Amino acid sequence: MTSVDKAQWIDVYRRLEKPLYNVVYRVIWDSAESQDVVQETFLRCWRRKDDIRAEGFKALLFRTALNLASNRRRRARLWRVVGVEVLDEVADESAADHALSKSMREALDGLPTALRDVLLLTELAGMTYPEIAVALGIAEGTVGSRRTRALAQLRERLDVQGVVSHEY
Amino acid sequence: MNTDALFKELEPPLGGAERFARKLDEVAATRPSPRRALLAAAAAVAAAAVVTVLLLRQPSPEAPELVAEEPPSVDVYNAPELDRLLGRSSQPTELVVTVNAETVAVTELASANQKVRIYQIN
Repeated sequence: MTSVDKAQWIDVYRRLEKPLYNVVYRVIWDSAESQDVVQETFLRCWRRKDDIRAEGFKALLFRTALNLASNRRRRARLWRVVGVEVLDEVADESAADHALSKSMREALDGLPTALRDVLLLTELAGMTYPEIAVALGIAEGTVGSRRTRALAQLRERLDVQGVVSHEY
Repeated sequence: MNTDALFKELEPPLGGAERFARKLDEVAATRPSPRRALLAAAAAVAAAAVVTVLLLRQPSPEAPELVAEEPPSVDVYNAPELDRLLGRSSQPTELVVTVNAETVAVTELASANQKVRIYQIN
């Protein structure tokens, strides 16, 4: 690896770390784990750098990050089933730090994955609908319809929980 | 409580880029370089070629041994029977006729065709 190559990757990391972190954090709700997932995402893409096209890079990053985050979340749930608390304890603490209530977290967690992923990418990744369509492998029109359904379900869940959601 | 907080931008833990740089160095150190991989592939191909050549050069035990046949003792090339085939002009030869492994005398008879000779066995 040349120094130029490394410097470019670190530069891209600096630019995209925050949106990736924000998306991943809303899946696994743990600060350190989220940053770990973001780094693993970049390392995986770096290993495939010879096959990556520039125009699809952002979509690939977010798709990889969502997949890795979902895997970690499944693993954490599995551990919870066998009686080991992994992310939950830490997650509550982190959520409090970030002023995200447990009810908000549960409302977002309750969304179907397909809807949640679209909502996270539209609200936090700064991606366009075409970019999200590529990242998730769905039609561009589906991005809009899923976002609408996701917001409606989220509003409903928050209203049930007594959280004000009139901003939507 | 405001739902805007749900999508509020959060700051990742500090030092992420530095940690990523260190991980990148670690992974790059363990990853074989493309040049090294190319050399390894070339060496593997060369080794396979050498083994193939050695196998092909060794005669299999079942293969019949090929031995050049002894050359014929007669001078086939200069045999008069091949004159016409090889475009040589025929040379007159003495006719020898054998009957029951004994040479017998013949008498040439007259022929109307120059290309046809008629002999009578005596």
